[in-house]
Amino acid sequence: MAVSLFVLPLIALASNAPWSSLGQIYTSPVALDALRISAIASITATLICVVLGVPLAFVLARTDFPGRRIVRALVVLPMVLPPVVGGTALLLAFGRRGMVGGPLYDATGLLLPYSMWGVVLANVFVAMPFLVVTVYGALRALDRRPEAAAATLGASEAYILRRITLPAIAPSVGAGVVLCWARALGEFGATVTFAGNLEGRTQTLPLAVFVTLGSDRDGAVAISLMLVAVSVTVLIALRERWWGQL
Amino acid sequence: MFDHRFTRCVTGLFAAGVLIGALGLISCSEPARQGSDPTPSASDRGDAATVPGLRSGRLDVFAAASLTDVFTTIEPMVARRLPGVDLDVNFAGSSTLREQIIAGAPADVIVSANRQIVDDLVDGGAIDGAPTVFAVNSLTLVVPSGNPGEISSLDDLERSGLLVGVCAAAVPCGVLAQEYFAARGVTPSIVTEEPDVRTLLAKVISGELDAGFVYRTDALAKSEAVEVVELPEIAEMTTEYVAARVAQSTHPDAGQGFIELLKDPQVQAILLDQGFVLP
Repeated sequence: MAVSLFVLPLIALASNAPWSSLGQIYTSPVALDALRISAIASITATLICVVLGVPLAFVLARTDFPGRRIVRALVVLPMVLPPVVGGTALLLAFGRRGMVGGPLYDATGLLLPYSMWGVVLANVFVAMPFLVVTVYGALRALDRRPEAAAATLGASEAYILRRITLPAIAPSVGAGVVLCWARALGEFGATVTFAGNLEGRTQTLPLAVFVTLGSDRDGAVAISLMLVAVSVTVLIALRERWWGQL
Repeated sequence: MFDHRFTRCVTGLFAAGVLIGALGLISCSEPARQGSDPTPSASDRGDAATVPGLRSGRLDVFAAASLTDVFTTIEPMVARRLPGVDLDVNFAGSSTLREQIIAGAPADVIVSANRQIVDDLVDGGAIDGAPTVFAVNSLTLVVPSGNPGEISSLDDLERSGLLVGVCAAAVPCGVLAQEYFAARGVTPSIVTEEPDVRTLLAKVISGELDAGFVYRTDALAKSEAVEVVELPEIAEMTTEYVAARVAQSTHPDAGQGFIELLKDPQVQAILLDQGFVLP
């Protein structure tokens, strides 16, 4: 029964899909615009997450400082926070009248909402924890003895990091990157609240599904199907990591 | 070791999240389902005090987001006039409501901000009886208090760098706005098409937008936070509010009672007070 709960909706989606006009829908301007924005925003967000998130995971896993547990909890918070709440918080912080966004706009005229950077920021906010948590877990579980042995043999810290630590956690970083990207690709709530919705500028695939559902049902189902396909691909790609260990 | 287990737990949760998310999207494409409960026969009717046909006591009304204030105001009146009825209102953009009903959501009554939405449902066989028009609303332009964008005419709206918001083209207020732009031959510098009128209004109030095309009733409801900018012939852009009984409703008599209440002089007075026009 539990399995049918997951499988039935997928069957319903597939049986309602406008199979014969899929090609036409996927090449329509709305779908192409949304695909382009989703691709650029989710990949950019993932790169930012790697640059910021991997060092953060190292700091959290390898160093001890007062309030480390609090920082760790704050990092995980966006995973359990409703995305709409995240979007509202982002708007209050980085919106045109926001705590940081207000002075920024007055000084430079720079505006994050209603722009691609707004979408990227919303994506980073919700997706980075997935990368940080995955890399953090790998670092904590890592056998430290090879590192210690290398150090006694005179290897520099940078050399140990490059030749021992990073190769050892590489599979976890890879899994974290895929998870992070998949979460960014599927982001809806924070994006629509913070960045708004405009075709060709901020309308990502999930936003296109929600907004076109009222006017173009076939289009919405077709785009949904595309997103399900991506999710399934991610699951298959990571099956060894998740299911292999159970 | 704890940390590793934690990671796996979280990634597992994520997998579940992906599936639940997909489920949410998919539920919208479930085919329309007719209610299996038989509608009450004529002999069930006639006892106005107990509202025949009402078993659970709960009346599910799916209403357009722009009716939020009206329905909150009339709730005590519903309790008085329809004893035993526990009103439960689901507010959303009208096109979302239509999709929810097509997908088989347990609605008794739909109240849409646009006739077309109900007509679509009638064509799909999802409506019982004739739809009732009980109010009319019109388009208006609102700006945050103090009018920071200094907007006073239609031409001002085309200024680049201005942040103008509209509703998405799939919801009635978005349809009206696009019709107005086409009729006047203007291309405002629109930065966002919000999924429903209330989120759009909230962004104008907070100053995140310089202007937004909303309903006259929204402007009146938040007159302390927004200002109306008079534009030529914008009041002629109107939309009809239509109430109809959903075919699969399990208590059609209570639904009918609710729809009739919307035409009641007392309710109509409240509608007028909040900026609606009567049909």
